[in-house]
Amino acid sequence: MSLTSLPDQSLIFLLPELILLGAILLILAVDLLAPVARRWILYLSLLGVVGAGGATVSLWGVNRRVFAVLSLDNFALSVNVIALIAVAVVIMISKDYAYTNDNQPALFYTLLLFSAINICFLGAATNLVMIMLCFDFLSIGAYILTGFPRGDLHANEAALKYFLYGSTLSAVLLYAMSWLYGFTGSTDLVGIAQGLQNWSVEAIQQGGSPLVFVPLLVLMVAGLSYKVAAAPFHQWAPDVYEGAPLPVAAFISVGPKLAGLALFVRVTLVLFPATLQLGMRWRWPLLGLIAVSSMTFGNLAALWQDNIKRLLAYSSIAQVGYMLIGITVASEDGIAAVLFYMLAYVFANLGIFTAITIYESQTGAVNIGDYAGAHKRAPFLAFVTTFCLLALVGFPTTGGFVGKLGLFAAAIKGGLGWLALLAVINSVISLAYYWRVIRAMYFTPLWTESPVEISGIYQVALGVTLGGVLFLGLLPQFVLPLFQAAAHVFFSH
Amino acid sequence: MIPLSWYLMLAAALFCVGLYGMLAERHLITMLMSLELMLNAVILNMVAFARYLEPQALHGKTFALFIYALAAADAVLGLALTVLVWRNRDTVAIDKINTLKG
Repeated sequence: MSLTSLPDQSLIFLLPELILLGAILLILAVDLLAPVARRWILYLSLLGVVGAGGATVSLWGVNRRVFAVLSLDNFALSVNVIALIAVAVVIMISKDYAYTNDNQPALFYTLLLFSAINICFLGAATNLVMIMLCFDFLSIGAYILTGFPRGDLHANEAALKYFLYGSTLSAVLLYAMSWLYGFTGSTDLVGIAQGLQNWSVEAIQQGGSPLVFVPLLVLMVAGLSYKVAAAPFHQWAPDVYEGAPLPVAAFISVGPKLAGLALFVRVTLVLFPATLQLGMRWRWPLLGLIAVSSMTFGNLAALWQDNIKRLLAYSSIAQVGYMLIGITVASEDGIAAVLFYMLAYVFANLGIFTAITIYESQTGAVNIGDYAGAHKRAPFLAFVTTFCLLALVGFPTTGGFVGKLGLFAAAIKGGLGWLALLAVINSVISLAYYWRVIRAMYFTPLWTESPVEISGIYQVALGVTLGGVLFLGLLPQFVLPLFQAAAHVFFSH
Repeated sequence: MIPLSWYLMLAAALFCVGLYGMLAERHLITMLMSLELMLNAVILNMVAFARYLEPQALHGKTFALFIYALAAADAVLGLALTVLVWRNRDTVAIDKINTLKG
């Protein structure tokens, strides 16, 4: 039976999410009924993620609205795949943490898979109700994961700050959504775009100004920027990265960011034709400003950090700035480059986080200086970290290079060459602080030569991330066409 | 009948009070109350728009109902975190919760 002959309400279209849900129920059942099998929970959740990945791949090419609130297209499926890769790596590196913290692996993996479901839905959501629900449930899962170690003062504080910051900005986003509904009488993105067009034609004929939408769009962009931790709304990120348990910080550095970017792309590209007709070239003033401030501020602040987690927080703020360039351009190439760069970023950032998780649990290293001599104590770990850091800079042979090339080329083609120029300057600045970590690992004399042990599943995580970065850098021709097809769904009509 | 704009102004005022509370208040419980004010403003907006623009349709009302659920989830989580911080530190004054720099 082919997928196209199925009705819109067929559960087949929700297969990836249903598999994740099944894995969650299974984990909870195992935890309740067979406590002796708790050590298999990790592999069970990994299996669920792989299964969901398989289901996603089998749905590739479907392009239709399902359940009235989801648009199941190649873009949504690409977001699914990236999210599942990220969650799989996080599951692997959380082994030690989940099994030592009050012995509650079931709760931890359930929350992680629940967050994965929300990211998958958010990639496809086209209705404001669906968007709002997934957006906030993803946040709530992240707050709980951050505050998971109950006795840990830093984790408490990080969770509290994240919660206060996040809930305020999601209320701001909701307020903007309520006005969008008021203007257009629709809660669907396509309906809103239609409504805005009709509304504006009438209003402009009667001498009205489309400028009334500007505050609305500012509020909306503010809410979305919090989710991706872009510059004026980034203050929570360094504290949360520092205070949260490391595997959770690894997840927060990629999961909510991916979901926020997917939402950014969909909202921008669906509403964009309408706003253009309003005579508003709001894209580059607003989004371009956030992109520039994000990469500049992130890079400059990262220069002064000693704590490696805070350094990574500021680095991730800067990375989001590069990705926002692709959304500012809003061309087919730009969106494809955003997806490609996001995947490269997921591999590179998680590679570094894997290395830090291993190193911190064995040596208690917190600051960059503590990584002195890492290449003698754990050669493979130091190599992976170095390579991933170079990928974040955009060094040739890594995925980061191809991604950045795509983003800058799209910017130049879209007439925003100055944005590409600023991004290149920023990449050069970023080399300064990434280099500090590499220098500590390779060129600073070591205090001790006791080797750092890396257990099996962590080796796999290091291998996967390194392999991903290399594959994207050396053989991008296998991945780029897929993301081109994903970006094409916004431009095919 | 009361015009729509009155509701919108009330909602905007509520929202601003809530936002001001979130930004300026230094006590966690007051901040949680401010958050509820902001969400209430959204609900008021949605219900007023739904009543005046499309009395027959259900989009806006459904949206408002879902925001209720969300506000409840947010309040529960916020209070749980407050209790956690209170137990660990004996204070809920936001200025004193500053072990993480920045």
